[in-house]
Amino acid sequence: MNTLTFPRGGIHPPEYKLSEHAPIENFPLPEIAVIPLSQHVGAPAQCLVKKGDKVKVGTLLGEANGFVSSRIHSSVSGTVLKIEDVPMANAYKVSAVFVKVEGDVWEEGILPGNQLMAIGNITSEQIIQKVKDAGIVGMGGATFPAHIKLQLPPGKKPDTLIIDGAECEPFLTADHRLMLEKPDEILRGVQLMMRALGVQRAIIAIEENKQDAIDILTARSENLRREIAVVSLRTKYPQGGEKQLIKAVLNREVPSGKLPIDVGCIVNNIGTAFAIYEAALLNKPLFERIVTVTGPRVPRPGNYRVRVGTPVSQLLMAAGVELDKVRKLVAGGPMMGKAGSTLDFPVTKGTSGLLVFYDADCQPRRVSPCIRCARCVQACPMGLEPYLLEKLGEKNRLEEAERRGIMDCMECGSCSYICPADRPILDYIRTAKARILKIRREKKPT
Amino acid sequence: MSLLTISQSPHLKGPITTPKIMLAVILALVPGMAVQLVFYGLAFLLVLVQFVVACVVVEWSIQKFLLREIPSVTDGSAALTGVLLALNVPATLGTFPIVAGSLVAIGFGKMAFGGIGRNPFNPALVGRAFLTASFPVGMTQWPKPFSLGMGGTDVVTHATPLTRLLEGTQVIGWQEKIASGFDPLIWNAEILAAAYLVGALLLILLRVIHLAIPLSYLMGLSLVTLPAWLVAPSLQDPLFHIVNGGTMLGAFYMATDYSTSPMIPRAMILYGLLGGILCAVIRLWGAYPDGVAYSILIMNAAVPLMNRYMQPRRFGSQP
Repeated sequence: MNTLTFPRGGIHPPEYKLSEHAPIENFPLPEIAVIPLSQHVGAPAQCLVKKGDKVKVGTLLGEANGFVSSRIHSSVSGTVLKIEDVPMANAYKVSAVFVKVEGDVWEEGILPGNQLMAIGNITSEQIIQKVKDAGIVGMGGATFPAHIKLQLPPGKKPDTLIIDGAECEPFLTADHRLMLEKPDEILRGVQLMMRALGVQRAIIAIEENKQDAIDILTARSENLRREIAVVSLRTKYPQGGEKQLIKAVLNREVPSGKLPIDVGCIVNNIGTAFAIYEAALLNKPLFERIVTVTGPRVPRPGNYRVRVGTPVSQLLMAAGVELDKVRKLVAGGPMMGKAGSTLDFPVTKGTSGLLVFYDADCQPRRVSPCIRCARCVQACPMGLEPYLLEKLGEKNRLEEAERRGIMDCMECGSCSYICPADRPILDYIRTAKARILKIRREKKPT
Repeated sequence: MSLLTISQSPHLKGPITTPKIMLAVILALVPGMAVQLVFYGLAFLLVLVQFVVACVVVEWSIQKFLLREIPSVTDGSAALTGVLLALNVPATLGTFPIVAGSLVAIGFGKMAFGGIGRNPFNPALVGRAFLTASFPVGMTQWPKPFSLGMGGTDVVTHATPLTRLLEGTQVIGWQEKIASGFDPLIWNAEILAAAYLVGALLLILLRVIHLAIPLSYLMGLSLVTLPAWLVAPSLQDPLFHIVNGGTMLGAFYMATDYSTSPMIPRAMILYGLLGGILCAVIRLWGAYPDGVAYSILIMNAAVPLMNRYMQPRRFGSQP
């Protein structure tokens, strides 16, 4: 099979897929689950419970609050202890429901996942409603509410659904394991999304370093060949970047400032497909996810099915991490993940991985002057000039930075990774982008 | 619990560093240096060591005493400038010109602009241009290979093929050379060019330098010398111009200097082509025997303009 790729830029970091052969294990329930009311892009959910309330697994804790928002469900059964602000991975405090775990009683109507359900004649509207009710968000880490992506804007009609199984971040293996262990459920999820969107064609794109996943999904979709194709992508970062993926798979370029729907496609993650299957056919709200726990010196890297609200320190201990040796804890992958300020933030819907670095892996950067080697320019998948944007950001020349396309930057980090002078290129770009957005907001008439 | 490190993504760092790049270029020049060593013996070694030491000391002193910053000579870039200067001058050059040349190359060519990465002109070529203007005799007396004794006092100089071309005297042709068999004395320019090429191919394979610049430079040179040779064979063929003088060293090791060359392939091709054309024009119709140094310096001056007006194609922009 020929492998597809985006043509320009990108890097080849070491893959470090340490946990790719570790089957998904069910992680034990925590004693107290800390369930944040904001685990998604958009407004935090409106809290529906109070101290002393009894909840079950799947009980609605928070109602979506506005158009871009998502429901939050209880991941455990027990008693609500308190509702209090807790710091998340990014150190921002978010209101969270503390539930003391008592047993494991599920809400009625949630079907067990041990048998494959048929799609039947569920309609597009029903699928979208169930996805919305179940609080599904983009599982790749972006956590954008999934039901919004399934509702097409007026006048826009996609012809292709792309399923991102690239998992191009080093270390992460959650999607890989899910593809190996739940291929039929994923395919049903893809079909459900196709029905919701009204598209006739879906393409599942997987990096070639996961040949076993390509093989199993190809084999299981044999009888669906007319609607679902499985393609192999070259292993290159950021192959799973939305715009890069569309370019690789369909050779279409999403124009600057536009969305995939503008070139007739919708991109969703493997994990989202699985979550949509569970929501639509098992009536199961999103209260657990697959988390990869890994790191260069982690004794037992693994993949776990974890209830939302489980403190990450418990996962680290299960993987054999000595907590007092942890120097850096990253929620997500090494290229785009966030470094946590504590070891105790809760797992949320968007926690695709926990990446642990010890002292020896965190040598301080020795920033030296830019030698203008142009490696960042060659590595930028968006065709930008990172060295220049860094300088413009540093000098606060924001209009010039905008003219040079700084807002096209998707913060993949290829420039900072490749820089031989170890310059924090992306840090400056990110700061400049935030300033530009702030200025735009202030200018907007209210 | 130890303190956690908070930093923005990415949390991985690639293996390439500035010192590694400089070291790679110096190592790639080893074959060229070895050939020079065989040709000119200890005299070349002496020039090489003096240049490297002088360049490193000048940079270190300026950073330490004038700029009062932490010296960064360990990045290897000053040493590389020293190596390039040594390969740019006759092996008979005296200590005074060497020190003066290093002072100008590093002091004015590099540190005056803010140090590594900020210099608009290739420091080694700034040094060379200064030496050519200030020590015209020392810089034009090229010793004959194998003529220098251990001390290098009895210098036998010879007119290089490019000098002969300028003076209009007879240049040994290919047929004559081939007829003479493999005499290193006759084939010295070709041997040196081959040695530079070996190292350059390594740099291209390791992606330290981009093929676009040297290739387009050689094409630019040929673009002028080919028709000129067809009209007037005494102006010599393109291959002659590629192997003689500083072409190989210039095209592969000096025109490719990061901070003084363009950032994107399209601009690199333009820069190389124009540089090669300029070199040929200086050689064929100018007052100097070789034009490599000046052609690159002139093109260096055009690089900021190229970087400003030639941008990479942005993803998602209209074709």
